[in-house]
Amino acid sequence: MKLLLIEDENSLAASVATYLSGAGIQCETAATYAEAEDKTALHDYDCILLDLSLPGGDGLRLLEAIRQTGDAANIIILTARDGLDDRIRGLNLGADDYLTKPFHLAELLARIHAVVRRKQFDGSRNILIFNELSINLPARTAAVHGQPLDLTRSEFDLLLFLTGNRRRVVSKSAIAEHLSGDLADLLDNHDFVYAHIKNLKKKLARAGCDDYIKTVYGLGYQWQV
Amino acid sequence: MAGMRKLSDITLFRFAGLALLMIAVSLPLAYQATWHIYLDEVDEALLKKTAGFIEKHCARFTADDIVAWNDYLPDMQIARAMPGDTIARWSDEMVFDSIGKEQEPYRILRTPLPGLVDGQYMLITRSSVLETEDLVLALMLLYGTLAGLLLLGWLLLTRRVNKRLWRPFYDTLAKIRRFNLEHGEIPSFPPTQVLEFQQLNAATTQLAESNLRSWNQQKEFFENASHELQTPLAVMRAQLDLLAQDESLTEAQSRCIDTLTQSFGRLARLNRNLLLLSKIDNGLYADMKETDLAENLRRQLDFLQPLAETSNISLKINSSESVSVLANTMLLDTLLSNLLTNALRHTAPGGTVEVTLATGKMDIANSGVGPLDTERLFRRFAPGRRAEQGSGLGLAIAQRAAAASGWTLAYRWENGRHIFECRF
Repeated sequence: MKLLLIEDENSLAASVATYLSGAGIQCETAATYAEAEDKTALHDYDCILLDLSLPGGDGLRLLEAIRQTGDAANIIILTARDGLDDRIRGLNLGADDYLTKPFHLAELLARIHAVVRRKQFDGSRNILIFNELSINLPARTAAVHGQPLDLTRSEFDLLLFLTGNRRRVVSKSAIAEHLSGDLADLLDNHDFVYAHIKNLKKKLARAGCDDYIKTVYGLGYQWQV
Repeated sequence: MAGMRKLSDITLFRFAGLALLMIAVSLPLAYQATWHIYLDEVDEALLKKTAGFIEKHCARFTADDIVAWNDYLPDMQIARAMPGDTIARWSDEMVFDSIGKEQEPYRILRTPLPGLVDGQYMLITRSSVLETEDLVLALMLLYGTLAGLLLLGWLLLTRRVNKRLWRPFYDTLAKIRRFNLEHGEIPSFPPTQVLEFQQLNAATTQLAESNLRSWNQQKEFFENASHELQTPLAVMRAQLDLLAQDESLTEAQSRCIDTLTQSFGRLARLNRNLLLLSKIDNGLYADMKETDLAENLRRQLDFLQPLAETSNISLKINSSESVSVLANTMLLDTLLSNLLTNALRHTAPGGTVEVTLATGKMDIANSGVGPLDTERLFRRFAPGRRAEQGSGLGLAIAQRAAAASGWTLAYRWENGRHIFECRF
């Protein structure tokens, strides 16, 4: 997958690029409005990450410009401003998703996957297979050896999150924030995440699935397949 | 507000008092003055009569004339002079009136008549002052009535004029009362002819404007500060996430990163919460729509269920009907999640958290140890019972969210349980 990251904060851009390349995503960067304009004109990207507070121009204008050229790339807006207005405007102007800073890299990757998949109607891409486990994305169901699993909404989200960031260490903090969504001040502690992980593992094991969720000591969890 | 009265009433009252006092004092004075004026007139008339008699009749009088004169003229009697009556003498006496059959007051002038007959007579001219008395009394009554009517009329007129005069003041007062920094509207005052009120209006407008300006500046500063924080926070978080990917980390290093990440999470959440509070206070979440409260609750409870289970806390709803409320989704979710997580956080293992729904209200109860201090309960960052993970803002946010939705949130301690009641 080819991705363009439009972000003026260099260290942040570098971190994101490193993480994404580890997941097999080829990442290009643009640090100014002008640079971003050039790159989007020259290439087609599968996904564009757009920081709204760009120097040299308003990110929303760039968004508008990109859409007006008929470019159908998936666009995720990144911004420090969490105004409802900004969010609505961004989505109205054609953004596919909106992520506020600070975000977990794992969360970003999960959103990229979600956004890219949404526009794919190719059936084969919508079912993830990890050995005996299959995950049906549009239906939001999972099955082991063909037998469907009874997962709660949170458990399914957790499974998707882990598999989306496979072979990466996902911190408990990232999991907690992913599961609690927009709700502020939620519990970010071992117990909460541990409880959900435990339940998920139990259900997978009961259905005969191997344990692919590794506990990384002191840090979090990792989907190993 | 005992003892406080309207200014116009006070001045009216004082002036009316003064006027009444003046009337009360002047009435007897006027009476006395009028009386004396009349008496002077009476005396002058008596003198004229006496002088006229002396001039016209004194020389021609005979002793026989005296008897006839006295018969026909009771008010001008000729009598023998007493020894010592050498000069004219005034007196006021009561005389029996044969017609009225009672004693009546008279003014009497006794004048010696040396030129009459043998010079041993005096003239007693007298005038009844009864009529005069009645007349004066009547005049005083008239005066009193007129004065009273004038005063009354003046009072009523002044009252009306005052009402109109003071209207701009009361208008200004009402506008000042209604002024609300959060609504951000500068009151506008209609022009007035009264100098003091004009000055008052101008000063009030200036005060409101400068208050509003400083309020907005503070809000902006606060929001900008929070937003500025987001970028370095973002950099830090990304670095930490990357660091965690390193496979060569030792146990100690992992623990360190974990602590950093946790702490960091709190920091990020705190910042987000502060922003949320400021947005709620700015009225950002104003759109309301009909929502099924039970549905939202169930969703949240499902989500929190695993956590409740690990601490062996029973978490449930006590109602299966759907309760519909008019609410902003974001505010409702915020309110519910903050109350529920607060309840969970402060319930000992083995305890219960129970939500009871009824029309118009919702109770969230959790088992506890002892009543909480209601004074500080909803304050931001109030010290006291605060679990480590909390940012100290949870209940403050819940309360602001409730208030912004037009609901009330109250706490009570009952039967060994903390109960937060929310009324719609």
